[in-house]
Amino acid sequence: MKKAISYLAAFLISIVHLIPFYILINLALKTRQDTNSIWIPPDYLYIENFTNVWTQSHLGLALLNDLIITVCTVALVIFVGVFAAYPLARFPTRWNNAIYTLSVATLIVPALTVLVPLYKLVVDLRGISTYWAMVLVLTTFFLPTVIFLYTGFIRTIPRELDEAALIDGCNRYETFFRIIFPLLKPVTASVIIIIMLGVWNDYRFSLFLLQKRSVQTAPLVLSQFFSQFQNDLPLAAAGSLLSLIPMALLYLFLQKYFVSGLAEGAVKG
Amino acid sequence: MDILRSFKNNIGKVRGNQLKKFFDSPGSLNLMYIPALFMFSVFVYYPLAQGVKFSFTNWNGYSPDYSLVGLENYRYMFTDTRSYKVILNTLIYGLGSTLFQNALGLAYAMLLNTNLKGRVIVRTIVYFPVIVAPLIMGYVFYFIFQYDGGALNDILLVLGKEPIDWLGNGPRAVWLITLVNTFQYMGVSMLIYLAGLQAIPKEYLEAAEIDGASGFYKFLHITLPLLMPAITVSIVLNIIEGLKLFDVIISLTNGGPGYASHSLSTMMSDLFFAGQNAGFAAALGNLMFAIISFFGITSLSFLRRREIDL
Amino acid sequence: MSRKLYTLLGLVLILSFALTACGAPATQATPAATEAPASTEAPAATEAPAGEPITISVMANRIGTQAELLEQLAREFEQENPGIKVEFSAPGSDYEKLMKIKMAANDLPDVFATHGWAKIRYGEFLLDLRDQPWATQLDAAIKPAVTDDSGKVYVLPIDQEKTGPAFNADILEQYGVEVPLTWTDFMAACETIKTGSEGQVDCVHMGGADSWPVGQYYDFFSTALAISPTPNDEQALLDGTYDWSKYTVLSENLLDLKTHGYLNEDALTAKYTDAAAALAEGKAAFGFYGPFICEEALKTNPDFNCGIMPIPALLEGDEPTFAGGELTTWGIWKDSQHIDAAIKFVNFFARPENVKAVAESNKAPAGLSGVKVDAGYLTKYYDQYADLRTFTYFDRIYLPNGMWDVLCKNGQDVLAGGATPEQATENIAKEYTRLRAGE
Repeated sequence: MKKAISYLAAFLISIVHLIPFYILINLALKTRQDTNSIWIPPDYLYIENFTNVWTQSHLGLALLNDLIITVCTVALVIFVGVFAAYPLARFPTRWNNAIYTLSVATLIVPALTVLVPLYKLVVDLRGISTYWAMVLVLTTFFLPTVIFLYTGFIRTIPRELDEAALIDGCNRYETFFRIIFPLLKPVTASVIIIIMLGVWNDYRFSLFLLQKRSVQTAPLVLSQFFSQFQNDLPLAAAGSLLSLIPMALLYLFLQKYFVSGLAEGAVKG
Repeated sequence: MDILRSFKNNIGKVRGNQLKKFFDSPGSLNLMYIPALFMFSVFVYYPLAQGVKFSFTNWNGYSPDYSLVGLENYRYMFTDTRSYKVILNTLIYGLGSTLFQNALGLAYAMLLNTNLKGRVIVRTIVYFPVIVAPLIMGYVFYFIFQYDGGALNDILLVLGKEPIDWLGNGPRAVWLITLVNTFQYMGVSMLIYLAGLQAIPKEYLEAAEIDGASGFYKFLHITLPLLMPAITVSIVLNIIEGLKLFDVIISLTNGGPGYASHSLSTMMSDLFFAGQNAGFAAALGNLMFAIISFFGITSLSFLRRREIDL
Repeated sequence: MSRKLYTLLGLVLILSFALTACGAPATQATPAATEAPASTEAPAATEAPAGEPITISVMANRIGTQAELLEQLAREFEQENPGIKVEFSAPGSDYEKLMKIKMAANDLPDVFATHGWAKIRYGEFLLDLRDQPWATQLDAAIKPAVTDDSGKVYVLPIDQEKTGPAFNADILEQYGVEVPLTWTDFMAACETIKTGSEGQVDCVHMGGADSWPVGQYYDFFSTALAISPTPNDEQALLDGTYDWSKYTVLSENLLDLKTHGYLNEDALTAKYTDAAAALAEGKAAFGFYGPFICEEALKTNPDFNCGIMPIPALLEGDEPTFAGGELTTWGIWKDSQHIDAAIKFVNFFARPENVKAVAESNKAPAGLSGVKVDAGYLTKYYDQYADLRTFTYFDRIYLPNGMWDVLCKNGQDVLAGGATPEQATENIAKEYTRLRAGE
């Protein structure tokens, strides 16, 4: 009996959570003149919405830009973050704790407060519409999350390992590279996914830092698309779907790493 | 690493023990976070200091001239009735979302922590909205809440009822936005709790059952305490993100109708760009920073204290 | 094994930096792209030494077909001027945000659109264009909006607004309603339409979710309230001595529309595009918009019969009016690195055939005299009301910079019941004083 209820609950939950996407897909396949309810699937498949979005908004280029920026940011933020997390996790001196708090506090800083001076800074550095400025800024703002997750995880690695390495004659840096670094793989997988999502979907920084169309990323392109084609809902829906696909694929393939990594980092944190 | 060693050995001939001692000491490791520190200073704290400065001016957001007005913006902030509405909304978004997300996330996790067939599929489905950009999520739900041709109103029409302008009523819009936010991110809470539940050794629960404990007792006295680390992470992250909520509000109501569904962050943006009141916007930003810090830190320390080490 | 993984990661990192260090996205340009391949920051020279192409950045606030037309003309300009490349961008609703940030950082585009704020907001950033060949041909109606007493010409006005509410001519005919020329007539017309259609047709459709349609209503009728009648409050507004209690009637009228059931149910959550669709499908009769909504509506229903009327008079004995002002304009940043190229670009758009093309895409009069614009289906309305006065949009002259949003938001509040008309006026007056003091 209990099993039946569980199955029913699971089924209902799935249906409820799938509804928005059902509607999205429905809309994306309709023509804009179709005035039937959005619940009813069309009895034709208006694929042109997808092709139109692709060519008109140069979505391909946007996705490529997204890819470049995301890969660079993820690589950079993990390196800098792991380097920072190790001393902060292992040696909680007062100074280090202050730095840790500072870094987590960055999560709370409202982006708008720093936006104008930051923009000015990037302009002075001649970084507008360049990949490197975008990568640096995004890295900085995702560092707190990375540091938070890695420090949590490193704390779960027994200190005995460090000490054993030291006794064996490694200095501190060697200890880090040889012993700790290899152990960080599980949480690295989920860190990659979390950061990737955040960077890929970033809108507010991209809006101001990526002004040339040739470097714009998908969310930016789509939002312009939305404001331009407000009354062509199917077209906008198709655009939304297309932009979802890369992340969806990634998620579907990597989801098992997600759960395990999250477990290690979050639970024991 | 061999390079490092040989470098050290050679240097050692000059500086000898001193350098070796340095590399052996914990302090040397602090060099490792210097890049991070550098990036924070340049891209976050330097702009932040300037941003704070703006809260003491009457800058309109774009012209090169402005003048200092001292605490005027803060005074205005505390006397304007709209500020309180916005703060209340922000709290609803932050605390309300957190409450729903965690309650539902935990419930889902407990459901999926069994041997249910197809639980991986359900897990995947529930988590899926997380990867959707919040902006897009807002648009999707806009299709649902739309007055003319929206999904909900279509159902109402079929049932013979009058359509409702869902987002046209301020307080209702605020709760709807909270729901959308919950919907999108409860997968995260669910996963965190799932991981946490899986970390609880079965022996504890079995022992309790042998002792005759009821399901509810087990939950309260074993599961919940051991879940504390997970609860801490989930709640603290949710609170911070909920209080900062922005994209979903913009794409659903743009803060409207009027100012009714603005949060501190959307109000800031509106004041800065549309209201041309950058000074006041900056003051609101500092208030937001203070509120989020307050809730973040208190919840963190409150929950941390209740954690039990495995 | 882990060593290899890290060397790989390191290589990826180095590689990606090498890629980004070039900062040249030109290598990824897809064949379908119509954008100019972007060069990195241009050197400080204003004119290119032989062979070196200059890139000028151009930003427009228009969207849709208008933006496409502007871009197409920009490409034609490029073909005529092989040494100049145009980086064209039309960010849509984020245009003003971007421009404000850019002004704050002193990083403006070489050429940009000023959407009504050439003098008041962008004035100090604009290059004086009085020596350009077209500067003597400015149409008399638009001239005051783009020049000042010292003779400085701020922008090239390609076309100008001549706007009043739009309506569905078929609906009016169906219910036997004449175009109302006063507010009292307007309310009566609404009553006729409401009873005649048994509530099926909304008299006025307002897409309040976007907030600017609400502001449009206030803009229209502020002129009718305070500027067009004689005597009027023009001087009081310019002095800052205006009695704001007079303004409450506008909010009251708006609320009246709602309480009498003349306004669409979802006025607060509908968008501009919904209004266009409603007009096109015969679900609404009037919309406080302008000729641009006709084009939008035609996309949904090509048989739509769109009409333009002047703004009804509010006070006794007054005549209806049109709202005018800048529509499509180009201004040049005075600190641009490529002033000569920018000037060439702007002058290209001043050519009569280009002016005509842009103006016709908006169904609006040209900004330069001597250009005949075919207003198509709106010609008969322009002819019918040719003698009526046109006043520049109220908020661009009589309200300090930044009041537009205040009007929009307070109007929304009134409709939502969050503020009474008196409270709305109070808020508006408060913001007026604050913004005026800051100017």
